[in-house]
Amino acid sequence: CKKFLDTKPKDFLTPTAYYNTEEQLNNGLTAVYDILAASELYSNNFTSRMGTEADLGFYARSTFNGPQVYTHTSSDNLVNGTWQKLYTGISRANMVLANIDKPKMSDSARNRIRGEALFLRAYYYFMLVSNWGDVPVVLEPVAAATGNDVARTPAKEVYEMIVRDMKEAEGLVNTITAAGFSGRVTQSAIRGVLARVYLYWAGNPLKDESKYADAREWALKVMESGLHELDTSYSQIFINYAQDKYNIKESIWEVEFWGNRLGNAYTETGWIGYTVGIATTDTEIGFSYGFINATARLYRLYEEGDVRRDWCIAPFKYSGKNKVAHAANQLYHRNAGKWRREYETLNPKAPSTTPQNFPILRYSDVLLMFAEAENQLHGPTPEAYAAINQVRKRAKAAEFENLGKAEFFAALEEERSRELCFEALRKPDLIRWGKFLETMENEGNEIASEAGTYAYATIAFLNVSAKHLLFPVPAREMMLNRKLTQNPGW
Amino acid sequence: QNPSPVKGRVTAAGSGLALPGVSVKIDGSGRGATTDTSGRFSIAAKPGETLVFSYIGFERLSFVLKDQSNLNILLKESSRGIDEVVVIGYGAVAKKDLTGSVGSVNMEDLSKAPVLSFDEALAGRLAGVQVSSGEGQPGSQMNIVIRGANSLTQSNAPLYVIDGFPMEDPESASINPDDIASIDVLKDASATAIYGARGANGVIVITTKKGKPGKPVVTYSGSYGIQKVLKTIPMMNPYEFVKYQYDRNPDVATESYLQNGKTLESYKNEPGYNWQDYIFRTAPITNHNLSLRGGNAQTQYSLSGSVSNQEGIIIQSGFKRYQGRISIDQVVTPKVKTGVTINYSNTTQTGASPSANNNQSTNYLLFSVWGYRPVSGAGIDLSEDLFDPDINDAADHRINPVISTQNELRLRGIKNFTANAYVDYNITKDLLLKITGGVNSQTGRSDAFFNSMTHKGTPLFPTNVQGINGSVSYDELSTWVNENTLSYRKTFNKVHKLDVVAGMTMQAGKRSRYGFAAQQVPNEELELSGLDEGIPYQAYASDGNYTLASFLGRVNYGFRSKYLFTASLRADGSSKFAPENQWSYFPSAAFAWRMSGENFMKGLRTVSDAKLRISYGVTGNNRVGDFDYMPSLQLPIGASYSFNNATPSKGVIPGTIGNRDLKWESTEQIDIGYDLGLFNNRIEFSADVYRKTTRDLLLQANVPYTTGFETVFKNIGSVRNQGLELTLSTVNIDRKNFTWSSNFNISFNQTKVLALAEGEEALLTPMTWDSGYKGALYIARLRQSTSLFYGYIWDGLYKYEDFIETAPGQYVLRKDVPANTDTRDMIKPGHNKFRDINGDGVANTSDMTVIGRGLPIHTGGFSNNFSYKGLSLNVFFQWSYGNDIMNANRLMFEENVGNRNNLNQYKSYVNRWSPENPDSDIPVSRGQTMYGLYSSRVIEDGSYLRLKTLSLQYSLPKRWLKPAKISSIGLSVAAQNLWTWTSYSGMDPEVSVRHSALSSGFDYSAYPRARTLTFGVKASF
Repeated sequence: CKKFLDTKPKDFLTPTAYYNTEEQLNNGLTAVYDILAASELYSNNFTSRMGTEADLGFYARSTFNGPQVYTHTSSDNLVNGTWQKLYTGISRANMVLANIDKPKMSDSARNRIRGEALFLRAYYYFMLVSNWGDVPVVLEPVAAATGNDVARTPAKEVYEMIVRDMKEAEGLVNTITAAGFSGRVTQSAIRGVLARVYLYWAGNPLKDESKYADAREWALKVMESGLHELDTSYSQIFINYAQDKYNIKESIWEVEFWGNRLGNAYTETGWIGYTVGIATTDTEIGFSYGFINATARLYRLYEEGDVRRDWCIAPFKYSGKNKVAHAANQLYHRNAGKWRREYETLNPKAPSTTPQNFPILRYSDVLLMFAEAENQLHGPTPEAYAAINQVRKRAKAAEFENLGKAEFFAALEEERSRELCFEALRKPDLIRWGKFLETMENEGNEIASEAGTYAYATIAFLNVSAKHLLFPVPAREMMLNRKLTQNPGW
Repeated sequence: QNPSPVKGRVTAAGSGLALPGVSVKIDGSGRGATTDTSGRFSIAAKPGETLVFSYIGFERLSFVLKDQSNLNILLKESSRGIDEVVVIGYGAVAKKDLTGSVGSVNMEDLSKAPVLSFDEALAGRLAGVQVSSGEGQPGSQMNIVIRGANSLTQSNAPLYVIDGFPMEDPESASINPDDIASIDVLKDASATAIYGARGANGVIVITTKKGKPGKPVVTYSGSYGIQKVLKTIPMMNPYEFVKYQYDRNPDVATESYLQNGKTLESYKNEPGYNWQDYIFRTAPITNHNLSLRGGNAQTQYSLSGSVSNQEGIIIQSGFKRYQGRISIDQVVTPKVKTGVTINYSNTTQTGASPSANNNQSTNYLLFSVWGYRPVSGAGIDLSEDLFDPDINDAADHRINPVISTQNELRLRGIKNFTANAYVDYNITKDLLLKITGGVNSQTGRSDAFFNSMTHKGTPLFPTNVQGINGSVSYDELSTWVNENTLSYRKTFNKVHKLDVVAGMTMQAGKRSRYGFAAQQVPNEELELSGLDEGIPYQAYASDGNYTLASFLGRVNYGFRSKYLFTASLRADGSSKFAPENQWSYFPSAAFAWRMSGENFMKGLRTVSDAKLRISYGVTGNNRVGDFDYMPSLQLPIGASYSFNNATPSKGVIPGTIGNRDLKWESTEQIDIGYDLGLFNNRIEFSADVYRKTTRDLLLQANVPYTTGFETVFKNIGSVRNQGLELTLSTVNIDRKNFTWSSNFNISFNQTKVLALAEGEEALLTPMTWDSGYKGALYIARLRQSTSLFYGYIWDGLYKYEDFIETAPGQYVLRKDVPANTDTRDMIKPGHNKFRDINGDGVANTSDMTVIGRGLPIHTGGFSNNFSYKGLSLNVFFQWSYGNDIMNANRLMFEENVGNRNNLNQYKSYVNRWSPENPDSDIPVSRGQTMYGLYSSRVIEDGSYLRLKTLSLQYSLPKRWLKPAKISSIGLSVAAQNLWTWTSYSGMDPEVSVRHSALSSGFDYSAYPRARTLTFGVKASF
């Protein structure tokens, strides 16, 4: 009888029977990367739905609910989904790390896999801690069906864990030249992201200003590596993303989207250019909803001659296949223009998916992070000027000089908007600078007074309140994990 | 006087066939005999003694001997009464000796319904058996739930035992209803515990017709009928449609419709299209059955075959069946009997389900049928092209429903083969060894092909990236079972009746699925055979297997048929659990007191039978995946990632956590029943109350996302079902030429959730019918029922008095009037108003509450049979009371929540709110953001009473037939779903698409039910 009841599955693999070869371990790692390209992360939520562009753009639809207009609740699907996907990525990384020593393979290959998995896990925790504050930390694969109530770890300890893992990973992974492209986690990516992690830690809400030194140090490591420099053309950076070309000097780490779902079964396409892009229903140009319009405030931040303005903010709209210039006073009519489907080279263009990559870390960001940390530590030193002016020179904008520390900071703040708008960095910048609430309110009032037909966007900005500094812990999690507590105001 | 030999012959009343094997006993003497092959017997008896004749399937006859020495005994076939035999698990008992709650379907009534599958006619036949069909597509399975759903996330389908062969998910359509001799439903634990681990959802025992000793009887029955859709929905005509477009957007409507001198008035003369007229059709249904049954005392045989063809009332849909059955029983020696039954069926279902799971509401068939424009502004004939040139919204997938449906190939064919064999060995007169074995093999094939003229294949749809595409996949399911039982039956001292069964069984099953799909198929005219020229994009391959081993035992003890005891125990071992949790034990006990056997009741002449039954027992449910206890890894294509622009690398991901602690779900049930027969059982009444408590629910329980998983199978949670079942059968009039009998049953069931996953107060269930509606529609909250609708209470519309007019035409919501979920500035007169329950001035997620119940309060049936000479009339009503339906169609067609251009609406939307019609409670034509929210506005009372079957039969007088050597000819006319009384506004209140225990009563683009009228003939030779 015992033998009769002893059946074996033939349809799936079990973890104990897997991870025996380098290839199988690599398959595990691939699945950790896969999360970056999920709709809940960079394909959609972080790029168009979670309000990451803050005051620089607005959701150009008059009737809508959700985080993009700050009407979300703790049961919001987008907030829920992002939380879920981040922990899914963490669990996939935990699985790889738990089985890292199983296969027989070279140490260098093992170290690379281990480093990339370790870093990606830390990066997902970084996304969690910067958006939710204190979060549960799970570092081992979950094997039991019960007993999975985990309390939140204070943000400071989460940051400590993140930098510990990232630093360890930094010594294990390849250099970007060895990798040869920007889609993998490399030493440069880890160093640059460490600078970002320390900057966030130095700012609100933890405000541990001692971390500016670490931020400066890690940004400097990227700058001194000799591996990076700015692309000479600002627009070319984004045309490269549309055309699946790499410039590993400027673009340090990007999310890879691939294909158009035609002729194959892969679903690795994204929505870059499709959700946030220049609106058109023309499938030859490339269908785009144009969900995000730039605000007049962003437009006015650019001086005449700054090449970035008419790239980041579309100066035209499509009418059929024609580009029709916006009138000079139509400052709220303009779609965010950074992600342009007309440059895609993969034909035919799929209407609802794109192969465009999305940058997580560009060298100009590293330079600006260095300038910011340097200014915070030592004031506007020549090194700080050198860094920020590299970015300005490329943009054909006048170089900065003779600024006080606060003035330098104000200039840097605006420079980050000009350079990095619509790259999912503005909202966390405002939060760490402690300016999110005030900025959003001012923006709301400005829109109310001058946006005309787009005045509906006012409401979204005025919906913002102190609770929006963090996302709510999903109601589902609160119900299932009794050790959780909710963020203030939710 | 000494007993002297008495001879005689026993024949069947009516047919006159000799009956072999009839037991003949002299009451109170112990003397007995059995009839031989020609029905003859000889027994010693003396005048004054009572001879008792009994034979399974016939009424028991008592005969007081006078001074005859040669008797001619006619036995009547039994149809009802306490001596009727009821089939229970691993045996049969006389109804009077029954201790459990078992319902027997009146097959004579059921057979009058013009349907091709027995489950289609089962609703309302038995108390406690709830049959709800999702929709009316021919060949679709019904949802049968016995005494309420125990399981929340797992199957609640009963176990089927067909000719002794237990099956968890039979193809009910593979059995010809004409072959069914009896259907018995085991309901309480005393009856079901013998099926242990699989008995908790109740057991349906089906016994098919066997040959009977006697001359060969050839029977032919055939019917032809027509079916029509029960009801269509009135749609806007061209004038109303254009007016509605003008209300939505005057500029756009003027540009589209009011050019070249056309005015709104000119549309009054346009005939326009009602697409329902083109998609629904009058469809024929035909059915032919031919059987040959007969045999002698040693050999009985039955051969039967049927051909059935049902075209669907939606074009291109239908169901076909070819089926044959053979059964042979052979007495080998006086102690050994053996037999075999073989059934083969080949069924084909064509056409897609219009409600099949689909994430985008505009993809559904009926969305296009109702939503496609009745008229175009430019004078284009919309019936000619696949596309409407004026619909160019990338998110609106409306298409000419007629052309698309005509070009679609959808086929689901199933070949089902079942063979059972048995050997009975009478070790002694009282001890019987029964060995049975059976195999079931089912091969299903699903084909789909979408050419360029279909919804899914047209390359013109911007989102249709697959182009012309198709797929073929095979499902194979094979099961074998072996059962060995030993039964001992003996009566001691004439008063102690003992019936013991013990046995062991083994069962194993395998299921696999293989297939592939291809896209960008270049030569569409080749259809499926051209798939190899396309680009493969999906392959299906899955495999599963399970085994089950069991030991069972049951003791029935009866004292003078007055005090009856039953005790049973089954031990089941299932491979679906980890070795340490494989075995479980399921006991039951029952006691019945047949009061009518007591002296004090014998005096009551009106009471012919009275019995009190009490039973208690535990049964189980193991309906989880074959290996759900194990952790798994998967390599789905979606977990790939591209590095350096290379073809994506595959990613491996954890699939399930696995749970080694997984074990059976167990259901404890107590049942108290009372059976009463009055006036020689002319009135039979039966009542049962029960309480079922299911514990250690096999629940696909939610786990925190921090685990990296969404759900895991756990034994957690508890559900209680309790209820009352009443059945009343009466013979109202019994005259020589006219009889009227009726059967009424009603059942009440109440479901209550007692516990859920750790810390969970409620289980929310969304309905995935549209990408905009991702929130929960159902809630199962602790201490409440399952399948409760969840959403906002609709409080009508905002009216002018809710606003302050700040400037002419500018309305600002008054401060004391709560906002719906919209921002206050957006709210205008004519918008939906939701109740602000907590009074915080705004209706938001904290004001969501229970807004309806998906489950009925009571269901039942009422059947009447009238017969006058050769005419007989059957009138069968069936109802459901107290359940609500979410009519999601109205969201799209009586509000247009998606705010889509040129989308036609129901005629009821003509009466929408407008400044000229400010009293209306139907929302304004555009301008609100209710997309994605459920409110009680579209929840409707789903109660109905339906004249389900009306059948009139006429048997030709025998004297006309005799010269032609025909034994009987019957002519019949039957109607199904003839009339329905309901306040539900949709096409059919008998609807529940994507039905589950947690989500009952949802209606969106359901296949409507047909009204059927058939003419039939039945002849025996």
